[in-house]
Amino acid sequence: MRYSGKLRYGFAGAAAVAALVLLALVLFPSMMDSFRTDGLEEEGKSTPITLMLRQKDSDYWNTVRKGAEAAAKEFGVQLQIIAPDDEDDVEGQLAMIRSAIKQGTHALIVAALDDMAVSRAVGDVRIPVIAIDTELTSSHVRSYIGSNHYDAGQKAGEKMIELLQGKGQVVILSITQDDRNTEQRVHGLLDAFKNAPDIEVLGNRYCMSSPEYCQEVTSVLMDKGEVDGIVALNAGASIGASREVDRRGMSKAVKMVAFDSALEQLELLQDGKLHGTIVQNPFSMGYLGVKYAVEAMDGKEIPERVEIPTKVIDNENMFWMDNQKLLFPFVK
Amino acid sequence: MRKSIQFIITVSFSLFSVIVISVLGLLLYDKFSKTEEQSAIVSTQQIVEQVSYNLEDYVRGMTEVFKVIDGTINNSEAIDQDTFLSELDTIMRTREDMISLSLFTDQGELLTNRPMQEIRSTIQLTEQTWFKSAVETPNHLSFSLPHIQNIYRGSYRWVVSMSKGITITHNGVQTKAVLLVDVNFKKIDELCQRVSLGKKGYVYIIDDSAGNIVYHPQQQLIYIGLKYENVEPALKYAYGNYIDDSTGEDRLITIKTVNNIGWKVVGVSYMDEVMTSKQEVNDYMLRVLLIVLLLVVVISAIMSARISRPIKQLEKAMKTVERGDFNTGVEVRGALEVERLSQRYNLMMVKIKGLMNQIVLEQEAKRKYELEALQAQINPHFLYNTLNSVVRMVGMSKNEDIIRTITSLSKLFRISLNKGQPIVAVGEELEHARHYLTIQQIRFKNKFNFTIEAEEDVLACPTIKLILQPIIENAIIHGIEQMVDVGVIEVRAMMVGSRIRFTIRDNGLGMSPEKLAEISAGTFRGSGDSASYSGSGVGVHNVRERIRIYFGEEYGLVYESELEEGTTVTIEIPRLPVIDGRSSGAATNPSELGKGERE
Repeated sequence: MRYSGKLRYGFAGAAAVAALVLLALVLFPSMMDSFRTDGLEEEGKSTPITLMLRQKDSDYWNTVRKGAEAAAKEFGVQLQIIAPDDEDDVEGQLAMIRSAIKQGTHALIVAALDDMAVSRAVGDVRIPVIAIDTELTSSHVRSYIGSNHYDAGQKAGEKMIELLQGKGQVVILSITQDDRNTEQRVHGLLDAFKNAPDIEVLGNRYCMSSPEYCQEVTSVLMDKGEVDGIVALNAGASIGASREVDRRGMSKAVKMVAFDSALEQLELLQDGKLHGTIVQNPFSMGYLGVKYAVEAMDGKEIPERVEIPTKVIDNENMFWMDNQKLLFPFVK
Repeated sequence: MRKSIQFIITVSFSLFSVIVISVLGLLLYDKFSKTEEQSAIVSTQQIVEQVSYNLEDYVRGMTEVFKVIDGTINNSEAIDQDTFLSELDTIMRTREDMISLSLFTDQGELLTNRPMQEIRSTIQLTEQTWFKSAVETPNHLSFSLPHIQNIYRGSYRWVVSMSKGITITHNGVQTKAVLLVDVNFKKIDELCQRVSLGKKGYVYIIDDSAGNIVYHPQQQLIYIGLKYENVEPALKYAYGNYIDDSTGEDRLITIKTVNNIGWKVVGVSYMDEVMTSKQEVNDYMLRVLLIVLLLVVVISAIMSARISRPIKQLEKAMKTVERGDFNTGVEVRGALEVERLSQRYNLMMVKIKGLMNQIVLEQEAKRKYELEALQAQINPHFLYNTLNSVVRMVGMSKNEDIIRTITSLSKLFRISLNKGQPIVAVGEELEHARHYLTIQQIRFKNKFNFTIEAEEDVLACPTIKLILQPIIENAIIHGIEQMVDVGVIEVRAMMVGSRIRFTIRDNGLGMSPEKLAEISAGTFRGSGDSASYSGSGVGVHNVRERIRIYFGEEYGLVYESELEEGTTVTIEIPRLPVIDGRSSGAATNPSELGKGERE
């Protein structure tokens, strides 16, 4: 009797305690909620994602920036965007990456200047690292989002062959020898030229990212001999080269194929001084970079490689509705 | 396993409550979500309508401004007058969303523009869509789709172009001209951004004819193909709403056509957001259900404990009774029923106690009476008298009588003792009476004759022993002894219905009615006037009490008597089933019973 009595009180007591606890939970769900959301918000605010660009001020990188910002806004993360002043500052970029990691960034999206050096720099970090624009060869890098540069180089080559009708002397202008993107583009370009035996590549010149220097290089090249076509593998080179060609009044005679869609390049294209350009999709690059970084932070699986298709734009098709949307970032 | 009351009450009560609450909750929830959905649709519709009206207003406003410009141009005498230009500048300044204004001849030649911008030399103005539509339908204001304005040097801007073919006076000549006003998206964006359709919801604008997106908050993502907006179904509606799940989420799409421009405002709200209160109510109800369940469990646990506790106490009390303690009363407080139960229980206990005491008393009495009856048999007086008779007979050498007497005496004692058993067969009892009568007959020198008769059926029936002998003794002593004539004693045993009836009749002195009454009332204890009677004084009382104790109140003995006529005693006992073969076997052959008469 006494035993069962004890049991009964034990049962009632336990039930009462459970009831009180649950009552508390139910009556103060707001407390719970606020507690939970506080935690979340705090987490959201204290987890900046760092986006490392290749260059501070350029139409291309500004578009990447816009895409990244759009994604940051959409997914509610804090985004820190850093970039060296120009595309030659390899050391500067490495220092900035190191300091961002040191400051405790929760994810790193990086467009590397020197892929080897950056690969080493992020070699032992535990945060998700996503490469955009330029591939990185580190196993720590979760994903590459960007163009297939070899493919883009091929497209440029094909466009040049078409413009020159398969015959002529071509000069290649690019940033630096070490740049992986350039390397791949050149590779694709030369492979394309293999199909056109009458195309002769006069030289492959590096003129950093400065239009002025590229203009000088172009001038030297044009002085040396007859140039039928120029393939400029970056925006700066194409601007510099076309200035020189324009200066010589040879815009019609010298065919030029470039990369990217800086405002000045678009004007050149509309004015018929640039005959084709390979357009990447920087907005998507920035947007997807941040999107996948957020997903990686949440522990989700992200694709290892996202290739964003490139497009050949010329004077004819640049104002087609679709291309307008691609070429001119929508600014409110 | 048998379930306890506590368990049954708790479980059934909880179950019942939960079912009732769940059903009620579900019904309410269903009703609520329907209402909620309806109100969500209505409110989204209102918001979209508002945007649409605002947009209409805006377009009307722009049209007005365009008219003003048109009017200004018409009124001015020359388009390059300073006053005219400053007037245009003033108009331009009033609208910050109006980014440029240009006036061309219908040949595509720039007349003037505000602000001053160089027209791209390579551009073919007449090829532009807005230009063509202005020339084709003069005096009609046309709105272009959003496009890149590429006619100005050094600028590419997303604009909506308003163009109209007008007639102006240029250099004193009436000429056809095209007026172009470019408007940016600032105002449209503002209009759409102001809208709140939950956190994720938004408003976009499509062109009615081709389904091109005019404005979308995520225009860039859609242009690039990172986002997708399913505009196809939206085109089919002029006004209304539907649920779209092409993006994998349920979205409420609300459409309203803007009248004067051919655009459609499409509101997109996410059902999971619109129905947040549904989720909230859901959560809340779940919590309430949990609380109620808990409360119900606790309350019913307590309640059932309260109900079952007195019952358990009763059980406890009963256990003490089981152990033989009849003195513990039950003091159980609780519900009325339980209290009553405990009272009844207590009453019952009192009764049982009484009955127990009665049984104890009766047992004692039984033993006492049996002992008395037995003592009566071995009454030394009787023995002495009998032995005296024997001695006398020895002197007279009446050997036969001696043998009879001694044999009867021995049988008398054997039956009396009967191994201590109080129950004997009727036959044995009659045999016992016969032996007694035989002895007494010899002792009283044949002062009486006797007959013993019995129905065959009754011989094997059980009876208590020593019920006939005391009555016979009384008959001899009080009825026959003082008689002058030879007396007769008749003993009969018969079956009367379910009873066995013994009658002991004598033809002796009989009794006065007073004495008869005393004996019938059981108060007669004998007068004690003779020492020889002392042994049998208990006779009638003893027999009556023993019959009562063994067989019940309705059995007993009845005296009938008349002075000088004799006395008849009738004893009735129930007819009980035969115990076993032994009792019937012990019975003497009934044919011998009647031979009591002295030869």
